[in-house]
Amino acid sequence: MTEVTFGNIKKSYGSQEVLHGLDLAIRTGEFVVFVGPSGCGKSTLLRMIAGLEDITSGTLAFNGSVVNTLPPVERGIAMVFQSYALYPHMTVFDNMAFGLRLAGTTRAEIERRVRETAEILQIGEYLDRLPRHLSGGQRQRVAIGRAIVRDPRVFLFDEPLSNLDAALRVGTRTEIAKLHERMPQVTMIYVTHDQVEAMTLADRIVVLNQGRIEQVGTPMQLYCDPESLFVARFIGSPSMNILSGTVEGEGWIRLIGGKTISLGGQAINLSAGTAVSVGVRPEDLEIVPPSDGMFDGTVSLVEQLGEYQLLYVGSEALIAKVDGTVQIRKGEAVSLAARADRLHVFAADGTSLRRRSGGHTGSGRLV
Amino acid sequence: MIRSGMRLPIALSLAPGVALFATFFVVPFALLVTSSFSEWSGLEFRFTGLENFQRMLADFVFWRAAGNTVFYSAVGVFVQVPLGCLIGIILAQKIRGWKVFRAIIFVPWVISGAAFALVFSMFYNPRFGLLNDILALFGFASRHDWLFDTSTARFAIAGTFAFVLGFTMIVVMAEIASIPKELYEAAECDGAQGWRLHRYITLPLLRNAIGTCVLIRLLSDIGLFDIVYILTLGGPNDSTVTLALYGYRAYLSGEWGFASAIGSTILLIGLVLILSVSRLFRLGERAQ
Repeated sequence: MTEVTFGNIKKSYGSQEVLHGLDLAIRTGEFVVFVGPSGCGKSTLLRMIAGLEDITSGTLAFNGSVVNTLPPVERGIAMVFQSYALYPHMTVFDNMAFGLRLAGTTRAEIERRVRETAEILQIGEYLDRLPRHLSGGQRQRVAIGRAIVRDPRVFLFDEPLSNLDAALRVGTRTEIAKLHERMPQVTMIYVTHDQVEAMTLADRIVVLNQGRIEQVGTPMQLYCDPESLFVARFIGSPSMNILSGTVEGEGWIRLIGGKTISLGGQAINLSAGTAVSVGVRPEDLEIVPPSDGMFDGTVSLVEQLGEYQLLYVGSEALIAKVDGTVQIRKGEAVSLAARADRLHVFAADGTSLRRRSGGHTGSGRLV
Repeated sequence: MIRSGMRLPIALSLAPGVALFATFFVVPFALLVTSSFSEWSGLEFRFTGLENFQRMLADFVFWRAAGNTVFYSAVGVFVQVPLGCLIGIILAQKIRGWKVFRAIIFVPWVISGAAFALVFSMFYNPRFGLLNDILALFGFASRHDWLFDTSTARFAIAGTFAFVLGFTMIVVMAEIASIPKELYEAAECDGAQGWRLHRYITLPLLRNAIGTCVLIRLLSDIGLFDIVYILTLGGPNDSTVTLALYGYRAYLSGEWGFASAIGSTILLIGLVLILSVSRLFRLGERAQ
């Protein structure tokens, strides 16, 4: 039962400010994922929550109590590290029991909790092994087990799947999701640069960019209603196509070197001639007859992935995600179009000009 | 399988190494062991069986030398290595001025034992030595001759090397640098702070490094010679004599067979120590 609140949190290294005043409230039992490119400050933020990094200014509160200066153990957090950080000289059992021993838990209770957790994570048969005798996936489970066994109030994950291969990553991701279901009162904060992990695990995603919150919202809010060009590009794979254009008139945009497209009657509040960017997701594009096309061009590359294929079209390498069975070859001319309500329009400063649904708006400060 | 055409080039490449190894290790080793069971003065060679060893074991100076060697080794293992570890762990925290301290502590280890002994012979000098002057500052004015008093000579000798911490410190610092930072962070999250971090993380992971330092220290101390030779020649009244010096004396008196028996004994002790310490510290097994 722990609500985590950031109050204008800042972090500086010398004169270099890396986190620029973050405000956020994370509810009890919520699974919040911080996502962003390398160097955006997400791991630093997680380490500040853990108590492994000092907070330069602002307040970090757990259930309303400021914990800025509390050591990690007094915050009631448990952390799973990217490198697993298992104690190499201790067996799996000792790794999991270490925190409990330091806390003065009785031997019988340690035994019970470690074995119980090991059963849940299916690592019971490895309890006597050293970490170096385990596979990557097993080590990650032990790392998670070490965190669970202490019954934390807040569970922190620092890119826990980065060192796993693709198949294991999917499996472990599912286990983390199940873990969240099993521990509904534990607040989970997860850091990743992988937007697939963010989309699949999060109740809410916090997109960070250069030490600032770009947007906070549910996965679908971020996907459907990106508030900025940065979020639009970051969420979704392949990322959103962005084309330059100018406002033509009420609800119309002329693409640079291309056609004039309609926004389906929805006006944008800018005068004609103003430069804008139009965003369209690859999966929203479909092949249409030339007369209906919003974007025309020649296919420069086809990436066949079975279920679907990615077409790279025109000089701007517009990406279209189309059905894998469609017969199309490199060099063919195609016309592409998307539903008007699937088009995103961004001002020159990168902010979104259209809202498709009522997502979170504002400066990236959310309480 | 080595192709027949390659055998000669391989043999020629290995020959210099094999020749050097044979000249400086195999032959002396064979000579040492053989002559241990003989009476040999360079001219005459007579096989005497275990006589040299029996004589050695019956000689009280041998036991005194063995006792002193154990004492010096104990100082090395229980004072020098732990202190070196402690300093290494402290400096590895990158405290203010750690590079300066590291250099100051490391330099004495680079200086040769003989030069070091000469410096200490002046430090302990009863007339103008610094030690008595320092003690005088604290009200213990005396002209005590530290090296020629049987009750203090052993300690004075041990004092010359007990605080040469450079080797252990550097090895420990290098090993600590290889311990991932996340282990400490994970331990902090688990509730370990301050000395407990070192008790549960640093020290267990330094097992190989500490074992290596203990082994090198022991092997160096069972052959301790130069410092004792220069400072006391083993005196007064054999109170500082070591096994190496005891053997050297036998050699000087022309009893090469007896000296070899002492040398073989030192070698045997060395082998036992290598095996014991390697086993105790599980040297060679990965700590991380």
